[in-house]
Amino acid sequence: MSRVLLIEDDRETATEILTELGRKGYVTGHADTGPAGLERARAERWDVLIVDRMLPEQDGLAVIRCLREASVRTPALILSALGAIDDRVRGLRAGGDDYLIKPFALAELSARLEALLRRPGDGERTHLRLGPLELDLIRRKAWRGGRNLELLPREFQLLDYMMQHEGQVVTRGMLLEEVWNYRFIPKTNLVDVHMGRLRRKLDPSGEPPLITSVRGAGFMLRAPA
Amino acid sequence: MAVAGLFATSSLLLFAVMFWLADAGMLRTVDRSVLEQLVLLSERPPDLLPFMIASRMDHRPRVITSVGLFDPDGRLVVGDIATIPRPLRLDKTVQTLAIPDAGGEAQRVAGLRLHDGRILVVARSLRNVLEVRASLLRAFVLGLIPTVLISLLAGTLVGLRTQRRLARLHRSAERIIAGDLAERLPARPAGDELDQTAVIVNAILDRLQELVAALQGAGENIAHDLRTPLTWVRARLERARNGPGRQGPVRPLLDQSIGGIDQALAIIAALLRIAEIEHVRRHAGFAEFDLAEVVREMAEAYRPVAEEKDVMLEADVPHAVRISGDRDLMLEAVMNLVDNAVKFTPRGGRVVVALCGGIARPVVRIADTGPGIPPEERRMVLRRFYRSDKSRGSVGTGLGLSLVAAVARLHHFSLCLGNNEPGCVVELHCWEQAETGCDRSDADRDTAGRFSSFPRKK
Repeated sequence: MSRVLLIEDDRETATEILTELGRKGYVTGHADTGPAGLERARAERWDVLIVDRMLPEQDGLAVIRCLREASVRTPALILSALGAIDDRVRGLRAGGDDYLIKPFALAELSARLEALLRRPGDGERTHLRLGPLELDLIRRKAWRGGRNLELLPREFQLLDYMMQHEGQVVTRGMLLEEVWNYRFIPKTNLVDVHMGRLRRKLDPSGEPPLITSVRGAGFMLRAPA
Repeated sequence: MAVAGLFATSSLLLFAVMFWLADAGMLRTVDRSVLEQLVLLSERPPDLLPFMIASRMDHRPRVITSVGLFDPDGRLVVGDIATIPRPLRLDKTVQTLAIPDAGGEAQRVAGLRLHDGRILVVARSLRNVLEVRASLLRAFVLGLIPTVLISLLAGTLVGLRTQRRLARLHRSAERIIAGDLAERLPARPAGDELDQTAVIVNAILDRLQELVAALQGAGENIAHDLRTPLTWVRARLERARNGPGRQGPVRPLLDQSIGGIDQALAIIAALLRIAEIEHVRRHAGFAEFDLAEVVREMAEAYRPVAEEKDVMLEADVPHAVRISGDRDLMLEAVMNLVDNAVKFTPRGGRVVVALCGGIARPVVRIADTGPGIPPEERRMVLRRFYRSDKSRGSVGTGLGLSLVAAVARLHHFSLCLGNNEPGCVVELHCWEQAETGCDRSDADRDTAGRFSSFPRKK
């Protein structure tokens, strides 16, 4: 059971987030000021923190900075109403691990939390394997059941990212940020089209599909049972 | 030029009047002296007259009038006029007649028959008058040439200055008409009537800009405030959709409601994004980057999207072109343009994404074979929320081009829409421009109905 601490002063936002997280089976804690949040983050063991950027008394970024200085390495997701790119960069520099602009869909929040909770280790990877799928990260080649998938570079990156987040919901926003490196979320069907092509190469008819769409959220790669 | 001509004409008139007055004055003096002499001599005792005339002739320096006394038959008795000039009226009126013994020179002459029948004639040369006339003319010609030259020069200078001022006013006015409310008419403090008028117009523009900004700000505030409640409505709808009874009859209604809210949120996000680009005007994100790479990446990203709908996407991006700007914003702008082009091009059509114009003046050019934008709508599509009738059927926020325009303004680049015959051409001219809208060549195309420009804010 993962433990999530939410540091957020807006009551309604906090209620919505806590309800959603409770529904997903997380154990939650809540603090509504910077110092209170800092206190709880230090005192108890958490798996992930959700920190609002603008907090009374102590700024969200300052809270994270204090924690990092005290060698608390718990991954932190920053929530911000400020959309500026610079702000995102500042947030990540202060020790945040991901950044979500308000308002956001709750599905987006839980997908990103999931990704933070199951971050892959830093070890040097050269080969990925999942069920019938095989990825050679050096030669940038992919196989399903020994069949070369002949992926284009972008499709390979997409599959690589999906494999790293195997079994998790991956949102379009996460893909645009991580695979395409866009610092903005355009209103476009770009991700769907590329994902569609990847899926056609990956899941030819007759074989069980590896990538599925998650309604209202994104996509998920899962090894066939 | 006209001013110079007017000035020259007026000096000519002034001279003519002066000349006429001086000439008439001198003639009057001559005539008076002739008449005075005639009257003076006629009043002398008749027997002393020949002697007086003779003594006059010996007088040195010579008097300026010449006199002749003739017997009743017209033969000379004494004097320096040999014969009576014809036709002389003997009634004390001054006439201009040729004097034969003065070599036929025209002189002012008056004659009188005395009581004893003798004839007295007095004449005076006009040589002095003619000499003065000649010097006056000379003086005039010598004076007039520089006057005309100076007035021509001054006129041309004043004219050029006025012309330049008017041209500046015209350019500013055009920018304002095109929608750039930050533009002001050039006005010098304590200037002439033109400057004072410009100051008044500028004050009107200040007020107008305030009102428009207030309106825009209100719109942005509303958008901002709507965002959070809409998000929570969406979250609750989603929860309802995922909750118990999810396969019930309300399911399609929930899906549609979520779709509608997503569209509303997308519009709000796009609106706030444009406001962010417009207001923040940060140049902090400016750095040198390769525009060719940005364009190539977008072409690569959208090729599958185009192929999905059977549209051919060609990229013509030959060389590396380094420009200074915000790479992320430029990427977003180019993405919007390519996205639009692919979206509006029907099945079987073609989209060409090109980077042309060389290294100094790179132009990102995106041409499609879609329905195009009629010339009269080109300016409007750059406005927020404007969507062409032809685009009503497709999904989008109607803010894509406004965003591109905002990015262009931030960079002082210009955005031009044109006709691809058939289809649309959008050009993003990626170099800093001091002037409004498209460059010269495009303005020409504009008059040919091919291109139309749009304004940039300063």
